[in-house]
Amino acid sequence: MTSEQPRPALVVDLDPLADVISAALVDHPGVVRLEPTLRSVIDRWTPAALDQLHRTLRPAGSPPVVARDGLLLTLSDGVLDLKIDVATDINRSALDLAREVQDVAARLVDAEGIAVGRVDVTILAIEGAPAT
Amino acid sequence: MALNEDQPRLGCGRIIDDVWASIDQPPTAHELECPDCRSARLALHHLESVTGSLRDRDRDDPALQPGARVKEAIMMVARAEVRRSRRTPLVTTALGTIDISEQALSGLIRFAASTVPGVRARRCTIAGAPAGADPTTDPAVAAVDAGDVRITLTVAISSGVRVPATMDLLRERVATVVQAQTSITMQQIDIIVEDLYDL
Repeated sequence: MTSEQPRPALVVDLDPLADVISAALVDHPGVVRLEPTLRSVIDRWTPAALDQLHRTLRPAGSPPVVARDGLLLTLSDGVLDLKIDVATDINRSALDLAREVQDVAARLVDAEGIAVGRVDVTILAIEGAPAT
Repeated sequence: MALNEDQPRLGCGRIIDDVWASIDQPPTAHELECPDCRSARLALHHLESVTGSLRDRDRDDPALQPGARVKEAIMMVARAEVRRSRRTPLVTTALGTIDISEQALSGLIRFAASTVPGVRARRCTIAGAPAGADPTTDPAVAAVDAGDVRITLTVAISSGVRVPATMDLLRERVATVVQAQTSITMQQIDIIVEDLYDL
């Protein structure tokens, strides 16, 4: 008896997970915002139109992709990769904050029982007035 | 000999696209004589005027104008896209990479400079060896090696400060703030004082 049977396909709805990660990151102390992308803005306006756009832009068989402001989730072979674009508060070390963002996002993905792939973070802005 | 065989032709053998391509030009000698071309030009002129009028109407139709929220969203994306410029990798953790955009780093440097009394930061350019040598990378977003960041900072300073001491303080401040925020140790900080201002 060998385990040559194919593994059942992992069916994951990435939209609720994207919402949870997005909310958690925006609420994280020191994160000023997640930077919007053209894709995430269109997503907010017309989900149906975006679905069509996704189908047009991505060839059949491409991994599922879900976008929110500053957040891109790509599921491939059961492993979820994240790209996160943040603006950080000047009163926190941007690098430390980016590490925390990685940890928060990875923890939430892991809590859903999904394998965490890469969590790449880009600091796009450092803003705010220094605490006096 | 099969070129353009699948395109519609006029009775005289011309491709309709060729007529359309010169619709805004005066008719050629052939087009003046050929009834097919004359008819086609007439029809295409009509088509052009109708589509032009539809375009103009759409441009002025209030129902088709983007709302304030849409405009603001577009501008937010535009500003974010500007910030998605060249990036400097800061660290690779067990989870993935952390990098900073050139715009963010430049803004941080200008901010640090402006905390020095008597200094007003103006422009900041960042140079450095490219990180990695991926020929497929778009030069506009190619990464800069964090171990070789060199900057040129242009400032205006108050006429009431001592320049050498202020420049020393400015270099120290910029280096300290950038190090604290990003862990980058800059290799070179060039400062250009391009203006003096009165208190």
